[in-house]
Amino acid sequence: METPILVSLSRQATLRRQLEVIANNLANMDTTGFKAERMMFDDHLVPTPVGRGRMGEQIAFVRDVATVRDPSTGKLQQTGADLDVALADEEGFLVVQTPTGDRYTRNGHLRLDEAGQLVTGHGLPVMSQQGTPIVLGPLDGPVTIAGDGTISTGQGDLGRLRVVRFDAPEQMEAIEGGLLSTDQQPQDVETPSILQGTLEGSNVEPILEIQRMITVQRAYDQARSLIDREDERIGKMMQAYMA
Amino acid sequence: MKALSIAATGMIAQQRNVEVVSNNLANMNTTGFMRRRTEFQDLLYQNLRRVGSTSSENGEVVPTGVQLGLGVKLAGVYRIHAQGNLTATDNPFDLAIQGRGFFQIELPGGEIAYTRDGSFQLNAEGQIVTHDGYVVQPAVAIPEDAVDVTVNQSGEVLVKLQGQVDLQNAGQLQLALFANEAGLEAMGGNLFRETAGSGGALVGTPQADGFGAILQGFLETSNVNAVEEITNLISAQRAYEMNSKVIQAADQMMATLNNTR
Repeated sequence: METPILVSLSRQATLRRQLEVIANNLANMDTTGFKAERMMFDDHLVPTPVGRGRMGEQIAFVRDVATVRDPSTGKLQQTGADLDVALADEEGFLVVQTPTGDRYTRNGHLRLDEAGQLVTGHGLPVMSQQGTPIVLGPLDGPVTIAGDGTISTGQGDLGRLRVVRFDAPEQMEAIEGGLLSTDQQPQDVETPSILQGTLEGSNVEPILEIQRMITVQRAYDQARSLIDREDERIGKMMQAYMA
Repeated sequence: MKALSIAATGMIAQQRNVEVVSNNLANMNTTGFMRRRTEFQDLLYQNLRRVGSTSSENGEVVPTGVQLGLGVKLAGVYRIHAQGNLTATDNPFDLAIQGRGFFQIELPGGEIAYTRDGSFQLNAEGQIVTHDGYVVQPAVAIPEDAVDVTVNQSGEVLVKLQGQVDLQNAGQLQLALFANEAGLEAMGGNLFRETAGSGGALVGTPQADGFGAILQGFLETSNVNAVEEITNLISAQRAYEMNSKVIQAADQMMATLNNTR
């Protein structure tokens, strides 16, 4: 009963969520290391009562099955801060130690905590290749972070930033603050390419997002007019019966 | 309509961004000012279909899931402690630090504040003070009959007294270092306060390992780059506009909904 309305409704419900994804992308346009997300749609087929056979018709409802992150590298921004690093290759992640286990991030805005330990913006220690936090002394002088992640000061080498990659980065789950979590085993990237004094901005393309937003809005209107016309049709049918 | 509140978080974030940019531009000519940068973070994600949840009895796993982000927040405003340009002033009490370190200033309450603004003067007792009259620590007094004052790169204050040939040592300036300079709290007036985040001050002689050198007759200008700030301002303004467009779109979609018969 009323399937055209319900099909339109399924479209409207997914469009609203798609707008939320677009809104989140635009809100995070200037978030360091943010990856734009896309909604993926799928059809959910339901056989009609008349067409159960081979040639039978099926009704296709819309479902949003997944949000996918666009893995491409964001625009690189010069900040001039010694402890800002950008991962120039697409697949690398820094390893961050949290109380609930290792997390991964592409946000290279690092700083020191009160003990001189190298931490992320949230204050979580960043791991070296030895799996230990990196500590800088107040007397160490200017810090140099080489392209392969080697951190050195006037006092010599302090260790190398651990950069890892995953076989299926799309399966990583985003938690807040640009951190990602996964059950997969990380694999070390032997030759990372790290840029000091630079941050990776978001890879959100504002023009595409605005264009998608307009499309969503218009599609929503179309779904409504379909519901309206269906309503009219039922009304006419009722009138015909009544008369 | 979560899109409304998500776009609102975007607008608030960009507003903060503009505030930080305008503060940088306002302080373009402030001695020893360090430019600030806003750092944003994405907010919590709502899992409509969790990544890795099983989709059938056979144990197939959802590869990506539906995660809806809830917007953006300001994670922090951090200072960029890059060296500013040095400008020659030829004033003997204008001191610039080339490299790392802060001058120590004693505030009226006895608390020690830290600054890189070295535009100093003398007070009635001949002590080196800031333009607010707070004494630079360790206190150095210049004798009244001094005709010339030299501060060398390692912070020794040497005075030439009336009628004498050799320079006399009047005192030694010291600098303070912190494990985490970015953790210092700005108090205004170019002064910083030590916090739990910065770690304790480590006091030492200029030009020693890790400490910067002192340059007499120079001032460190702000490290604000006007071109960069203006481009940041433009992009922040446009980002603000785009987020407001999302609000409009969400509003119109709700209007569409209301107009459905």
